[in-house]
Amino acid sequence: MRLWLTISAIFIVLLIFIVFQLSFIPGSIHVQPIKQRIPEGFPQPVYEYKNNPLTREGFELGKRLFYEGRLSKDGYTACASCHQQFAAFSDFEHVFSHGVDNRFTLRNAPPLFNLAWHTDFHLDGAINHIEVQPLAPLTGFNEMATTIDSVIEKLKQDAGYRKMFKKAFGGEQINSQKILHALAQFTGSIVSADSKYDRVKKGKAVFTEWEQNGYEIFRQRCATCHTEPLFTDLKYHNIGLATDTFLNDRGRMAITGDKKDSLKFKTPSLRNVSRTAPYMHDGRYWGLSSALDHWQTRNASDHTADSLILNGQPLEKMEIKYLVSFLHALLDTTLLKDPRLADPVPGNRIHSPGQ
Amino acid sequence: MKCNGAFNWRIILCVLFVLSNRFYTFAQNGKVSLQLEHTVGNLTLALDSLFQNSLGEPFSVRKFRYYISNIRFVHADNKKSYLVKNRYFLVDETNPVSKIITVSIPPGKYSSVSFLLGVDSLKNVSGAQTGALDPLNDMFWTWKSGYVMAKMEGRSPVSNLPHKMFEYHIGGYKGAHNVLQRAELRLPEILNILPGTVASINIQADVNAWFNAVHSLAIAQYPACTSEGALSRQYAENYIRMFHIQNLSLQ
Repeated sequence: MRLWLTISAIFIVLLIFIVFQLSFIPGSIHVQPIKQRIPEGFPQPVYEYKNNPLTREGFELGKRLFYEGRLSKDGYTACASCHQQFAAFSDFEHVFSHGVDNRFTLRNAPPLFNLAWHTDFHLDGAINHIEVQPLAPLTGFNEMATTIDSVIEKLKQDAGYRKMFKKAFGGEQINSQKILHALAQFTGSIVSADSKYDRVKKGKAVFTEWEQNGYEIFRQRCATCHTEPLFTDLKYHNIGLATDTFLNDRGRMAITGDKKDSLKFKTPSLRNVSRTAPYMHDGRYWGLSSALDHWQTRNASDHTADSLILNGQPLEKMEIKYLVSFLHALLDTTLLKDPRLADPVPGNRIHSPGQ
Repeated sequence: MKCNGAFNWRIILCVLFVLSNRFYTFAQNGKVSLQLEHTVGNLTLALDSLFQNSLGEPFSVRKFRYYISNIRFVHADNKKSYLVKNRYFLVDETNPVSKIITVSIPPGKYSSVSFLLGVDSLKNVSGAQTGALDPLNDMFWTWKSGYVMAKMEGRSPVSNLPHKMFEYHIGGYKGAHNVLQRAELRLPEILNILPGTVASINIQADVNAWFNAVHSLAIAQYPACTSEGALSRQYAENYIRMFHIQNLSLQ
């Protein structure tokens, strides 16, 4: 009897010990894992959530934060204020974006999709990882103009957020890493691969004659930099745009300090391009045909421009029309309306021209 | 009563057995503390107090912070070494505890210690971090990703900036901008680590080196250096020479 008691006591102690230890393993929180979406024909993503396991709870928290005005100094400027879903997460019809205190950004807000395939971020590649990108707009004086401590403080005071953080990461503690991980779970999950072009590739749709002509011209003339299937080579090029003497934006050179990088900007993806006007890093062109006109009227005297630009033949008028048709076939209407990416807050009072 | 006594005894033994298994690997190691003392020449650095650098310029320090990582202990006999992996320490003059860096190392006879001043390039490109590497510590550039490896701010009457201030934020982890430097410090005697040894290495860090070591960088000429580039590298080549081992002690 005494032996029995002892043995069972030992078992109980061991059991308590094991349970106690298990409670420190983060995997033991109840989360629903999500499989990262890699569309057919896409390369392996750069960001694979290795240190930030993708879960339903993390994604939902990230989405909530993306649409959160309290991430800014004025309380109304969210990520979504300048990255609107209906504009493929670009700033609809804005040359420059509006930050707090009536300030303007100095570049055109890029659309957000397929970010998990990017090695670096921003038009000059200033940011080296998807997780740390939000720190730039959060702290930028002409964007959200806040500080990380103040964001953490505001979120801590909200019982709803405390609950969401606990569900996603275990523990009620809110820190910068959890905020950034959650945001990356949302932004990295914005995938665009359901345009007419994608359906044609899968044999589920057929290009019109103009689209087909455009696609052929695209493959000969544009695909070197706007590489399929992402429609960007993710590299930096000087396409011979005349320098705006007010902005004096040197692009990539400001980051690398290398003169060879002067006036280079990251190749934008052409996916959803019909929704992301105005065009170029400073939003100088309205409409696809005026942007394409650059290749017809560009100033060939700028010898610093990329050799592909300098040695390329100007586009013909008809070629531009065909190309515009093809570019419209890159619009992913599923992305623009996907309810999983939409604002989760009914009547959310954030700055946004679409609200 | 007697029965209860024996009962408790067995439980204690059992718990001890489990615990000892768990900590077995740790118990074999010794502990070494790097104890940093910030000085100007041989005077102990005090914040907001006036000192003079070796170029004869009066100055006072408001902020003094730097990262230490990738600490390596080199064995005396064979040239093997032990690398303290994935530990990042932010040394901050305002926080005395941060000036004592304690790590666990396997037994052996060690002849030198070295460390990276800053955060290695891999960690610079690894996304959101926490602890010493939390961007909240104000040692991370948000407009252009990367850690500030070392930071010194203060005032000097010779500065031509507003408030007579000077500011050095030294960073850059890539290519020509890389400021990462390794301080290699030979121990004055062989450090014999046995299981359970607790040793401390007292290291003096002389702020003077920032202004005058390999390069002469007067405050009057350079009151600010807050971005990557050639000047940052010069500061890094200077400040890596600020460390000197004072002595070793065993407890």
